[in-house]
Amino acid sequence: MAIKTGVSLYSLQDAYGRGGLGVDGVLDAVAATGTQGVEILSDQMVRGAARATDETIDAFNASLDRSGLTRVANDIFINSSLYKNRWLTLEEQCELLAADLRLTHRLGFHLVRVVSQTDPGVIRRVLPLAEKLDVALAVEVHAGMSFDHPLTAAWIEEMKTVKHPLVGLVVDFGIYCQRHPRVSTRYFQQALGVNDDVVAYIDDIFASGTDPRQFFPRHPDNPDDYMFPEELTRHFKHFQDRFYCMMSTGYENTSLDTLDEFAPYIKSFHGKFWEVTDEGEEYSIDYGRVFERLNRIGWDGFVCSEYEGQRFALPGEPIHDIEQVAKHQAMMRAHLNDGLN
Amino acid sequence: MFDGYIFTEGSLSNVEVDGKVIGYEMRTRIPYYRGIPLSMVHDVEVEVDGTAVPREDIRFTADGGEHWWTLAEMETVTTFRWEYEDEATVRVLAPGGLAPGDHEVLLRVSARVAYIPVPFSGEMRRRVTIG
Repeated sequence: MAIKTGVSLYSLQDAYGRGGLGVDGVLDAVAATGTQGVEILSDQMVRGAARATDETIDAFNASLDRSGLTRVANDIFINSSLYKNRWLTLEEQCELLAADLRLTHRLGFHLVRVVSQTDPGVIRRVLPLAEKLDVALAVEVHAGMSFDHPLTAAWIEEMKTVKHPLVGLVVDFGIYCQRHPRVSTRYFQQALGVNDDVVAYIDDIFASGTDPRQFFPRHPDNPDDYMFPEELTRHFKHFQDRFYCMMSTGYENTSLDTLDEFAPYIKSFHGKFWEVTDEGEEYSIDYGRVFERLNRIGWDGFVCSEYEGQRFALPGEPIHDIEQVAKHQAMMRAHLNDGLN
Repeated sequence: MFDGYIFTEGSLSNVEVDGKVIGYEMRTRIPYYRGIPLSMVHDVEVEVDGTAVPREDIRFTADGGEHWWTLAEMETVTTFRWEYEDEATVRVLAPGGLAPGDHEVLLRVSARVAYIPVPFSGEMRRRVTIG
């Protein structure tokens, strides 16, 4: 029983895309951190995705094999917004999901992470195929849309009803934030001109031990519509101030007790991070605190580094994704045995 | 957030076909972190010196010019993908192209993302000099 570490290639999207590192290049960078596993996004690095040729699949598998990394998960997305004028029907969504399950199987993975807000109606419809391919289906529990969001709650209800070992959750550490990521704050202040009073107001919410998602009342008919009080809105000078507050609801300080509650259903974790500081810790998420709890519940599986600080590079500023992932892996290694005797 | 991916620096030039300048084009990356079918490219907008280019004058290719699409056509292109790794080319049909001298060109690209209610978008304004 032990926490195992991996890296999601989400982290190295810039090194791969703009950096031109290629699949082998990013896999080499991941392996060089000394990590055990890798999580991929087939839509990002497998040319053709679900329609990839055998040649493409063979080459990708050869790269994965060569890297020596364990295949942890494939992050997939049902393109329900495929058409401009309508949302895909549930049957159409299932067709796309089935194609991605087959792709995941061809790539040798046994877990797909479907993105937050996936309709739980797909579960029973694709389960026979998932069983045949031995691929588990887990929805991402992501900050801003975690356990109490109606669609996540609906997935959990269906998951508990179906009660099948191939249906579960991938929990993103972004739900265990205790501070607003300061790289995001800096971006909003310096690139978008968000004012200091607004920043301080949000920081104070975190400092009081809660988070903006719990602090601001939500519209009864729309779970994603937050109502900001006058003492905050009086500081709004332009749209970016309001936008900052809306985006701040995407960082949650959810109780770690949710780990005890949902442990039996959790298939894997995203070790979300925005900034590993010079002191070697994540600025917003106390990994020691989370790992201590993971060890207490006897978590025996992966936590994959998922770097999202690249989103907040200032215009023209270089992105240090490879360096940040290496620092994050070292940080996770330092906390692996927290809470164990 | 994705602005740094839009409108590759130094990529704008006039386009000559059979000795005639038919317009101008520029390259761009996707304002997102994965490849998507072309139908999910929600919009492509170009402004030159503060004036928006008519939507019907824009052509788009995500495979190095093997297939050129109008934005209206792209709405039905649900299988062919703009791969994350690839730059696309945005061409504006404008006989004679951009006149010699300096211009301010804005490119805005947006993608419809399944789990976010508003399209992801990125834009970049560049000062370009046509020789």
